[in-house]
This record gives sequence, C-alpha cells and structure tokens, in this order.
Amino acid sequence: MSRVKILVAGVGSAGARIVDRTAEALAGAVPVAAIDTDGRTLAEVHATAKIQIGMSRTGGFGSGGDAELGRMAAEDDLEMVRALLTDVHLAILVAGLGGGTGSGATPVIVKAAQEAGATTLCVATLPFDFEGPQRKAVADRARARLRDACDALVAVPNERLVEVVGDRGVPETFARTEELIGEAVSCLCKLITRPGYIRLGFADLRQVISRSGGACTLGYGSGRGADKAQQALAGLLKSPLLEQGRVLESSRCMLVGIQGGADLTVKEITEIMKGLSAQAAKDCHISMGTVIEDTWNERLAITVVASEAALSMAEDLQQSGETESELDLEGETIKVRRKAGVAQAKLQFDAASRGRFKDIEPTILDGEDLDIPTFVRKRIPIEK
Amino acid sequence: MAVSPIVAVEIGTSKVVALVGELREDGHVVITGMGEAASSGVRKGEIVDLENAAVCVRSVLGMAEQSGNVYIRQVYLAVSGGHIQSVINRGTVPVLDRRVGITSEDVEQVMEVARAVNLAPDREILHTICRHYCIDDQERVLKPVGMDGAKLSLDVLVVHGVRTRINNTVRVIKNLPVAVQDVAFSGLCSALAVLRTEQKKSGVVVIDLGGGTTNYLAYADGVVAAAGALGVGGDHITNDVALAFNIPTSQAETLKRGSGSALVQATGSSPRVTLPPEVGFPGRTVSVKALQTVIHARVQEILTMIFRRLEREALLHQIGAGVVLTGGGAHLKGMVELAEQVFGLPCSIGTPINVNGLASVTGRPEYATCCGLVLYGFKTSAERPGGSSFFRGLWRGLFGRQ
Repeated sequence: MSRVKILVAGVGSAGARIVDRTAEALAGAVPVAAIDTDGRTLAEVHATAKIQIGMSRTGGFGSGGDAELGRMAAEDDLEMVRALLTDVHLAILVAGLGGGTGSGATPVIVKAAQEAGATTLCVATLPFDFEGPQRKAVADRARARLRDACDALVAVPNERLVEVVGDRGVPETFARTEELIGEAVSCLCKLITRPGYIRLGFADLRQVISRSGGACTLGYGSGRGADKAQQALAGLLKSPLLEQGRVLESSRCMLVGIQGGADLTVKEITEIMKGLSAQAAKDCHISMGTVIEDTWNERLAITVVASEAALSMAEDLQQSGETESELDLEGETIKVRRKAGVAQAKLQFDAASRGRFKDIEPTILDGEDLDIPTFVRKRIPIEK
Repeated sequence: MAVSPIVAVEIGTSKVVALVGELREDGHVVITGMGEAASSGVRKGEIVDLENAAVCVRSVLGMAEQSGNVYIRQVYLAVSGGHIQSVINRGTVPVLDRRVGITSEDVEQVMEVARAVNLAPDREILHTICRHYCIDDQERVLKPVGMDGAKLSLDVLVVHGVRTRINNTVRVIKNLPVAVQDVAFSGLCSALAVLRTEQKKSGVVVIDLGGGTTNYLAYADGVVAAAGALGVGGDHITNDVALAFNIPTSQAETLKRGSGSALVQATGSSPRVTLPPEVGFPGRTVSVKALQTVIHARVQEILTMIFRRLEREALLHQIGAGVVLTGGGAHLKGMVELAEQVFGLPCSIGTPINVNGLASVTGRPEYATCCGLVLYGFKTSAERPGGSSFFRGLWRGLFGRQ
C-alpha cells in the first residue's frame, strides 16, 4: 500500500484524451481526472473523475480556443477542482497547449494544486507547426505561465512526437502521440506507487523536480522481442524528443523508469543504464527504478525525465543532503522544504547573471527579476 | 525680458543635463544654454551616491550658467525611476445650490476630493492631472461652471512615486546653493516636448527609452490617460550584451551602438564584428546575429510590458496617432520597426519640436525630457503667478483641453 497520494489530471480536450490512455494503463491504481469545458470530450474518456468547468460561460461547448475563457472557466469552478486536490502529494497535470482550456485553465489549476500543498509536475504538449502562429503564441504564453507556476514543466513539442511515431494517417498520428505521453505518465505513476524490486520513490522524483530548475524534457523508447533492451535504448537515444541524445549531455539530473514484464533481466537493466550513463554528463545524477507488469513479457519501455536547466554544483550538494534523508510525508513539511529549495535556486542564479546590477536593488515585475538578461530568462540560445 | 529664464535639470542614469530656456515675446521657448556631463551615482534613474551626483550636477550647472549667460538660483527637476506609477481617481461632490447651478466653488471642492486618493503612506503625489468632469450621468463634460446638475464628479490621473526616492533626487540639488522650484515626472516632460496637439487629440503613446528607466505616457482624447515607468533601460541592453559575450561593459556599449539592432537583421552565415584588444581585454569577434538576438529579446520585452499595461487599461483602441519613441534608446537601429510589430500601430521617433534654439539640443531625442521640463516650467509659472510657494500643487487645465 502506498502512502503517497497522486492525482493525474488532464486539462482540456488534448489533456483529457492523453489521461484516457493513462487511466487505461493504470487501471484504477491512481485517480485520474479529466477537466474540460467541452462536454463531448469528457463523455468519450474513461477517467475516474470528470469535471466540466465553465458551464455557465461556454454552455458546455468548449472554449473555442480562447485562453482567457479557459482561465475564467477554471476560476469559476475552482471549488470542484480543489475538492479533487485535497491531501494530494503529487499532482501530475497533463495539457495540450495552444487551445483555450488547456492554455487558460491549466495555470489556474496548477496554482490551486500548489495551494493545496502538492508538488506539481506539468506535462504539456506544444502545438504542431501547421497549427499556425496564433496557437503557437497562445501556447508560448501559457508555457511561460506554467513554468512560473509549477514545480517542473515537461514540454513536449508535437512536432517532435510525430518524428517518433512516424508519418501516418491523421487519426493514428494523434492517437499514437497521445498514447506515448499517456504511457510515459502512467509509467511515472507506477514507479512511485508500486513496490518494485528497484524502487523509485516520490522523494527521487521530487529531487529531479527541484533540481531541474523548472524545465524538463521527456524521453521515451520501447522495444519488443529478444533484443528489446537494445531496441528501446536505441529508440530513446535517437529520439527527437531528447534531440538525438543532446539533452542528456547537458542534463544535470535525470530519472529513468524501466518498464517490462517478468522476463526483464538484470543484464538488460545494466545494458540500458550503461548506455544512458555513456551519453550523460559525468556529474549527472541518475535515479532509476523498474516497473514489472505481468502482461509485458517480451516488451520493454524506457521513460526518461531529464532536467534541461543546469544548476550549479554547490547547490546540488546542498540539496542532495536534504532530499536523501527519510521523507516525511506530511503535506506541510513537504511544502516548506520545497520552497526553501526554490529560493536557493534563485539566489544562485542572481549572483551569476546580474552583471552590473549585482549589488543594487533588483527590479522585480510580475515575479521576474528584470535585471537578469532577457535571453537568460527566456532561455533563448545565443551562439557565442 | 518679462519672464525670467527657466533652468531644467535632469539627473539621468547615463547623463546629467541642464538647459536654460527663455520665453520670447511671440510665445516661443528658446533654449539658450546647456550643460551636460556623464552621470555618476545614479542607477536605474535613482540616486545611489548622493555626493558624486552632486559633484556632477554642480559642474553641469556651471556649464549651463556660462553658455546661457545666466546666474542660476533655482531649477526645475525631472524625476524618474521604476517606482513611479499612476492611478485614475474619481471624486464626487453634491452641487451646493441647484438654483444657481455649478459654481467655481463646486469645482474647487470636487478637485479637493478627487485629489484625496488613497495611497500607501510611503508614496507621494507628483502630479494630479484633471481629465474630465461628469455631471450626474453625463460623462466627459469639459467646463461645468454654470451648468445644472445634482452631483459633480471629476476624474483625475494621479502620478505618484516613493517619497524617499523623489526626495533623494531633490537632495542632490539641495546640497548646492540652488533651490528646487518644482519637480516633474520625466515621462510627462518628454511628452510635452515631442507631441503636437493633433496627436494628443487622436490618442498617442510616448515612450522615453532612457539609460536606466523607460517612461511612458498615453494621451487619449486629448487628455493624459496613463503614465508610468519601468526600471529597465538602455543599461540593461548593454549589460545583457556584456554578459552574453563575456566582454567589458564599455565594449558592450560600443558594440550596441555600432552593430546593435532591435531587430535580428543578419541572416544565416552572419558576419562577425571584431572588438579590438585593449588593456585587460584580449579582443574577440562576435556574431552580429547573436548580438542582435540578445538586444531584440530585451527591447521586445520592454515594449511588450508597456503594451500589456496599456492593454490592461483598455487604451489601445484609443491610440490613433500611434507611438512616439524618444530618449537616447530611440537611436537604436530597428527600434521603430520593432515597436510597430509589438504595438501594431504606426511608430516614429520624437525629437523636441516645441522648443527652438541650440540645434544640438532641439533635434535630438535624448534631450526630450529636459526640453519638456523647460516647457513645463513656463506653463506652470504662467498658471500660478504667485511663484513657487505651491510646491507640487494642483495643476489644472494644462493637460486638459485648452
């Protein structure tokens, strides 16, 4: 029996469809909620809880791509969402950004989860290029808000997902991308809730989250048959999700979940971890866990959550001392500790990149320190 | 000469300027003297080193005295800084005697009430600008005196800032044998210098891109509709460049002025610029595209922040005459084009047009604030012939319809 309470919530139509997959895979082990403004989507998914928000504003027909409407819808019906979040330790929110409900409502729900004392992990897909600049702009704005609001944001561009699943028919492409994220999320949940032989706990996930500096990348690879481990590893490393493995090189911290059947061997695990370590930076902190599914014979999948932003060594040391200790699962304690971690991260960052404004009062606007170069805050790559 | 000359001082983040202005018989304001020096002791528009700032101002005033051939005893002072904000307040009073209609006493009364805005105890009002009157339910009344009505309301725009910070700017001058006649918000001054009446009527935004602060002021329907400041300016652009390429600030400044642009113009295999070696700096080359990417990110952010604020006040549809960019930052290449992208409105660079005299001053956007302050001085002294006893007093009509 697990004492860690997890909630997986899909927000918006895309989010709801993704958690539909997660719900299928988890088979009731973890509560899965679908939150949307559109009644039709909710009717189609198999979530344990379905919440239709913003009925009074949208009449139940969805938000029509208006993020502002999505936000108001969530604010109207926040009480229903709060009821779901009571005593939750980890809230995994899944959303497709670019539309109305996913982009508008998710930041509001993340905030409510934070207030309820949960650690928040947000998995968000970014729109395809063909969806046009408008949706991309909406998604970018929502992404910025989410990055501020939640503890860790895993952003997955749909464009990269298509490269993974290959060019197929439209319904299949969408179904496969949703399936992939759904699987990855369910793998994360299983890692935490199931007593595996090599166990990965809530504390490990929290550590990746707190070290990530807020931005993570998701990687997924799967294989079948005799050389399933090799297949899965090769698929993962070649996957555009991790930019052909480049993300691993710069990542400071990653969490690896290996899901397989009862035939998963120690040799296979060693193979996979060797392959990953070879790609990763020397000082990268890797946490690993396995999930054994009886129905997964001859099948194997690797899920990787890798931090994108690199925090300094000194801070890593400070933080590792804290998180390796036995975890106290009372909501309040967790919250306090997490906040301390975030404050540290900011201090480090400030000293490093404020330049001539180092010793004077910072200009803080909407929670951003404007003295830090814009390209640093927005993570715009600069060719030196 | 009927009116004594007015001296305006701006203690900016990058430079300290003093201008001497005279009012000619035909009503034109002519700049007859100036002093200028690189600033020290100022960061982001606020004083951080009183002594150094005072030394700076003293030498600048000396220069202005010499070139303007005046003896300076009192000055007008521009204040800036990210702490300056504005708020719209409405005051309402019942009309005293309905039989005679609204009298000037009612107007005085409503002004008193409208001014009494609830601010945090550490804040001080810089300007109270009358927008329009409202009689019962009739909005936008211009001159209410003599009209009939049961209650009279007045909308004012109150520009306010943190008292201690405003006082610190004033203190720089107080250390010298010079008195401060009045202080004014830099953004307001810039608007006075660069705008035409038609622009104010059709609605316009003035953005003054300074070294340490960016001030903005919006006119809608001929009256000031919003004003504010951000503690971010040209220094931040330079700092971003210095950090991005790990070069000294002085080199970053040269780079910004030489090859910098608010738009990323360089393409693909972009050219590189070479920074010559100097003492303690080995020299290096920098990709023009990377440089422009750094600058673009910062400038776009500044403009977008102002855009968002105006959007929040629901002002954007009232801006018919577009955006006027002024201040030293207006020299940055691509600035107008980027502003057009961000605001979706016609943009232009504003130079001080409402003053004459020294060509080195009147044609350049970086002197807009100081020129505007001279104008401010003449307008306020004309309105209150009593002199300067009414420090930071109520200021009526000047920004309303005339």
